Amino acid sequence: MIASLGSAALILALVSCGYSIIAYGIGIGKRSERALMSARNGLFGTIILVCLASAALLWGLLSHDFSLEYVASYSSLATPTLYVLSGFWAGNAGSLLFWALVLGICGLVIVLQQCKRNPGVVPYVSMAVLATEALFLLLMVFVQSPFKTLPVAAADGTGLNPLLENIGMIYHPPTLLAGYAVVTIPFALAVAALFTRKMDDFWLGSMRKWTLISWLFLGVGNILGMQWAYVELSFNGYWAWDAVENAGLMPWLVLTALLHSLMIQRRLGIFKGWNMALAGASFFLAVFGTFLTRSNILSSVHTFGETGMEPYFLFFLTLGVILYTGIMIMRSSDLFSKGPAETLLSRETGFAANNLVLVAATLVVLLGTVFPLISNLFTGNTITQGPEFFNKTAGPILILVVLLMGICPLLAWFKTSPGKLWRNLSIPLYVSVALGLVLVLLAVFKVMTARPLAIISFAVFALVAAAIFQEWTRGTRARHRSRGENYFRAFVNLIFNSRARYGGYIVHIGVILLAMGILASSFYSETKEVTLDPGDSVTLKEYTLMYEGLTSEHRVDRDVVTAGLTVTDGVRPDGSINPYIVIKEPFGSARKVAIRTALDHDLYVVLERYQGNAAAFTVSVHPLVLWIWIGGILLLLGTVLALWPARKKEEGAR
Amino acid sequence: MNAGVFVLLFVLLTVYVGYPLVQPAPNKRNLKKVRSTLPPFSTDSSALREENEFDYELGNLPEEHRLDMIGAAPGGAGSGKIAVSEVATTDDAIEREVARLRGLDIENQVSRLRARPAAGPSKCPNCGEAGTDADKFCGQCGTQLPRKSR
Repeated sequence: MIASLGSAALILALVSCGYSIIAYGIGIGKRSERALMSARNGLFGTIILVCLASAALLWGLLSHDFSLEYVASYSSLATPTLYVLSGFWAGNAGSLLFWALVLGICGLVIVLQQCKRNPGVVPYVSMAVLATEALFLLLMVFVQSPFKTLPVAAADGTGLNPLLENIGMIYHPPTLLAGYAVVTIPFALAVAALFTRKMDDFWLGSMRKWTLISWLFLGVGNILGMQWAYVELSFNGYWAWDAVENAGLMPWLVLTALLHSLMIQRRLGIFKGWNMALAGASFFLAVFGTFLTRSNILSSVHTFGETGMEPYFLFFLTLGVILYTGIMIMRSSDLFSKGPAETLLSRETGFAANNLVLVAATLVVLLGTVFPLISNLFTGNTITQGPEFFNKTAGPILILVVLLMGICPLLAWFKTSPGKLWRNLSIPLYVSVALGLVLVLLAVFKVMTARPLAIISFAVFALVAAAIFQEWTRGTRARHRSRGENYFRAFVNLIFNSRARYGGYIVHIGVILLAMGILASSFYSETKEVTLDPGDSVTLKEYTLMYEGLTSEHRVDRDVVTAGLTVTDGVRPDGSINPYIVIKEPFGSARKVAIRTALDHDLYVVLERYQGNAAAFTVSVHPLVLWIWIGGILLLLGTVLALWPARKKEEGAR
Repeated sequence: MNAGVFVLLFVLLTVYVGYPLVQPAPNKRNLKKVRSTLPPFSTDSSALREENEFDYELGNLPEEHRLDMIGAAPGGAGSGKIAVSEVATTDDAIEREVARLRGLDIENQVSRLRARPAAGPSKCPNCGEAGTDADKFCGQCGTQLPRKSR
């Protein structure tokens, strides 16, 4: 029953989707209101059917319907309910359905939003959304259906891979997938603007909102993925420059550029063509990222193995890029007008520079990611670029991004006199130089390892942070002077009255914390690999860990082997730390990390393997990792603040 | 696959999607009604104006560009050279500003300006002799008078 309901819903959704695209085309061509109305019902019908299919899959998962191959592969009777639900996106077919669901819901929201205020764009937005939806429906109907039935229903399912049994499984994949899906909306709005030649305030407002939403989901999704990798994958880090991680990073970088250049378009009416190009690039990179995940062309922890989806994705990408570029060329006279760029030293040129640097970073990451394919094509050997390549190329570029992020807000629009720039820049510069000197002295006196790049970067971060705080102080003081509010009130009002601006600054602070954590942990981590017998101990920095022995435990569907280590922090004994290994058939064993977190560093212990009572451990101390996650939280809060809609009262007054 | 479910869904979908095609007339009046009850088209322009003012206060926007930018904003945010120092920020001030703009009575002024040339005497471009609108030639020097647009 579930299988037939789900499959029927998917097939009919595809039919309805195809019909709706054609009906929109006819409606636009013949200016027929009836065709447009019918097409709109087709869009709604598609979305309703996708929701129905999703409900069927959830129902199948929750009722343990093991006649469905998908349910039997990703859940079992012993799986806790929360992980049963996460089975929805654990597999290839299910995550396609989840994507289609999110895209459908976003499509519904954007159409309802626009049909009130800006009905002209609805057909074009809908067609772009439907075309993307059609790709995923095609894949589910013809390649991998989540509703494929087994010839004989299984008695119990296989369950989740123990590596996926982490709280991260519940929030990382859906956030990132939602980010990928939402990128379609700014793209659809861009397509609509290209066709209707209309980019007014309302369009810009919607564009900004949806770009910000997809940026938020992708950013938070990536950070959650880092956190998950850090606590679960036991490779002693959080980012491995894996092809699929890069696939999530690239659209995010492009969206970051787009957000900022949209600001310039809103203020000055320039950068139209550039923004269109960025909106297209972010969308196609997101689809390309999915293509990498679903195909077998690059190896990655995320791939789903042989799927047969490559031709569909390649066809969609090729056709999409050609069509989009075609429309952009057709509209080039509208898009590429000379702007009022006056001088080299102005905020808009600063933004443009930051945009270019972000795009450069994206290109470098893209090049490194597809390098195995290129090298295979030209030399016959597949050469994969490891983390060193990315750290050496994309790393410095991203530090430059952070620097520009600090300087741009200090520049005035149109032109900045050097004296004025100095007045804005002097205090942050003093702070930055002071911190740099302190760090150099620490390095000279061997308190800290000397790493020039790290010291320069920390100085840059201090500059940016100081610039932001200076901006806040100035704003607060200006408000205090002009409105007579006390400083605290002035500060709160300042933030809540220009939410977009101060939300942005909060995000910038989050990015600095993030960058600081990443930099500190990649330059100053210390690691020891040891094999210990019970009673042996290992010392790293201020910690001494004494190995007590192994305990083994059998649970319903798995065996758990736990190592006990007592930690001595300096001189006092300070509790114990217990990394463990889970053995679950048919997945084999998974190592579970034990982490002790403090504000300044994490103690990170992995039980690598054991023989008899002897066990091999990797013990590491990673500085400032906690600040990466704190930065992520600020990023989330700042974006939500920036997205918060204007109050009704303010709207009425306008 | 259970054919019953498929057929049921298919029929429902066809009816839903097909209905607008065979509807006697798309209900346009309802649509208009819905649109007219919506709040007036609100743009971000006043937010934009505030941002510009803020940049100006902090010294990040040169004086000579301040007014330009308000005019340059898409949708003509400021639409004109209303003294920006008077830009209303509190509700009372907004009320006053609206009252002032209403007080200008722009429509009457425009119609008065339009009516003036018709009522006023017309002059000969050559000798300056006064005449009426109906004249094609000057009564004094005989110069052909330009055709009045109104």
